[in-house]
Amino acid sequence: MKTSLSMIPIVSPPPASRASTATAPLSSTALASPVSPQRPRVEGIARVVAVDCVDGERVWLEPEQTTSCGGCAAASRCGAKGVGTLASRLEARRFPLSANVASPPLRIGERVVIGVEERSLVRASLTAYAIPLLTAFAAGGVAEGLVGSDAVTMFAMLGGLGAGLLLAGGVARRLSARGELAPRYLRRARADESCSTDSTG
Amino acid sequence: MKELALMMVGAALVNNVILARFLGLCSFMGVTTRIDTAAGMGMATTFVITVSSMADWAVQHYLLDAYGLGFLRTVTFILVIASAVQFTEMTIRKVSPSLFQMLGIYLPLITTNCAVLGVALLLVEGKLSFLASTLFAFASAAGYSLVMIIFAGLRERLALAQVPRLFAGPPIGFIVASLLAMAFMGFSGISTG
Repeated sequence: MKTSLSMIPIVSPPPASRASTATAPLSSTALASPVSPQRPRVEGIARVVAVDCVDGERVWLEPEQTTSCGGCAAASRCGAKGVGTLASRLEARRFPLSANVASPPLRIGERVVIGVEERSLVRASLTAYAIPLLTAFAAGGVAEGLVGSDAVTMFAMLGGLGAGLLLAGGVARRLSARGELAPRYLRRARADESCSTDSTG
Repeated sequence: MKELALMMVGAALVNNVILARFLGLCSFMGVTTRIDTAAGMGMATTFVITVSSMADWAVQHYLLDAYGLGFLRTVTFILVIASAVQFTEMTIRKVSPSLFQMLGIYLPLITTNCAVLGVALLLVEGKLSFLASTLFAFASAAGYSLVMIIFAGLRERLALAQVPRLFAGPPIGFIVASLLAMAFMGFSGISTG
């Protein structure tokens, strides 16, 4: 538990889309514009792991996370990528960024500080969790009122949950299209800067 | 209806998962440095507790009770909770990769959150109907989230306050947590007899 929790407050490297199944479109504005400095944001450190081979204008970043023992974090560099390891989880959370947000352009191996607006995290949580729960309880309440059987209520809630998840997917796609779930480039990370360092100085 | 409402208030405030039952204390201290991360963790936990309580109810009634396998309850519930977390993670990843990128970090941590198992075991003792047990689980999780967010807000203010060096960091956090627990005792009333 302690191991896992050590990475949480850092939160970090928010989303966009995955390298393997890039589905969430990132608008060019979302890729290039820095986070408004007035708004509170959640920051994290990511490492450039690949450059788009077609035009070289897009780079893929992997969130950098540490654990208290460092064992799993080391796995991401030593090639031990079993199912469920931190390395495989980080690979699944790769996201793209325009290489030209920084000058000179970002290159493989560089570490950068990325950020997402604080309200985006709460909005994403509400979309992913509150909508499915609301539809599940609505369906369960209707089934309980009409039939009153536990089995029927259970299946109605499951149906409501499924419908809510689909609805949440639609809302998330709309948010993604507006660039609200996309991480923004803030600056290059200092050599001694880590997820646990106070990057605000 | 009134009983359901009272049961939910009781689960969320009077018998709060964190401050009255002392469950989920790891995340209570570990994820409450910022309000947004506390809210994210709280909502993820609420979702998992609610979904796993639905699955636990079905397993308890149609498998454990039906075949006299009550002695396997704890092990089975742990398996159900881990499956619920995995299901949530896979579903969110499939439905919206963007959301998974942003929120996926919280989900594996919930598997080891004792509040999830604690609520599931409390539900068995309650012998409630399916809807009532799901609402109880939801209310318990909502109480958990509420306390997480309140405590994160207090810690954000503490970060700006001048605290004596001996108390800086976790010590003042524990003192604030105890004061918050005492404040929540007010919901259960104070016996004068």
